[in-house]
Amino acid sequence: MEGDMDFVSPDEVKSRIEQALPGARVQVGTFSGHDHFEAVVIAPQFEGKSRVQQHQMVYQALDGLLGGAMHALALKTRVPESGSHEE
Amino acid sequence: MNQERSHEEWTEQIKKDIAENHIFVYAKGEKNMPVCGFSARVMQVFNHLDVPYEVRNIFTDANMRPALCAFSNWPTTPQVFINGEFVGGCDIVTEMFESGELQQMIEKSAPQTQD
Repeated sequence: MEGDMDFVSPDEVKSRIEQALPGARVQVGTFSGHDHFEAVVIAPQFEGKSRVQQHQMVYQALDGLLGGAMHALALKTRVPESGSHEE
Repeated sequence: MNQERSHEEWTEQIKKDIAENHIFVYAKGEKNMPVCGFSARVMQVFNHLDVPYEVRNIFTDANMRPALCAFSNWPTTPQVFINGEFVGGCDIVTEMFESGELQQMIEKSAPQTQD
C-alpha cells in the first residue's frame, strides 16, 4: 500500500547501510521532517573510491527508499583514518 | 506533467547536453528559479564562482528523470556534470566547493576561448 510504504526510521536506514557495508560506522538522523535524512558513513570499503562511487555504494544499500520514503539524503562519506580504532 | 519525449530520446539529449556544455545541471526548477533547496544550493555555488552553466528543469517532462537517474546511476536530483563527467549531487558539489576541488576541476577543464 502506498501509505505505509512512505515511512522509514533512521534506525532502519542505519541498519540497511551497516548490512551492506560490514564494519562501517554509520550515523543517521532526520532534519525538517521525517523524510529528509542526513547520514555520515565511515567505511573501509570506501578506500580508493571516488566520492561519487562512495555515495553510490550507500545509495545501493538504500535501493528503493530514495525518492520514496526518503525524500532527501544529505550524505557525508569518509574512509576511516588509518590506525583509528575508536569504538 | 507532459511526456513529450521517450526514455531513449532523453538519454540521447542528456549525452548531447553534457557534451556541448562545460557545466550542466539537471535541477528541480529553472536556472535561478529552483523549487528545491538542494537545487538552489548548487546554483548558488556556480553563481558565486561566476562561471557559465546551463540548467535543465527535470519537471518539464516526466520521462527525463528516470532516464537521467539510469544514465548517471544516481537516484536524486540535482545532478551536476562538468566536462561531460558526472560530478555528483548537492552534497558532493558543496564539499568540493568548500575544499576548492570544484574550482580546480572547472579551471582545468575550462574550454579554451579563442581570442
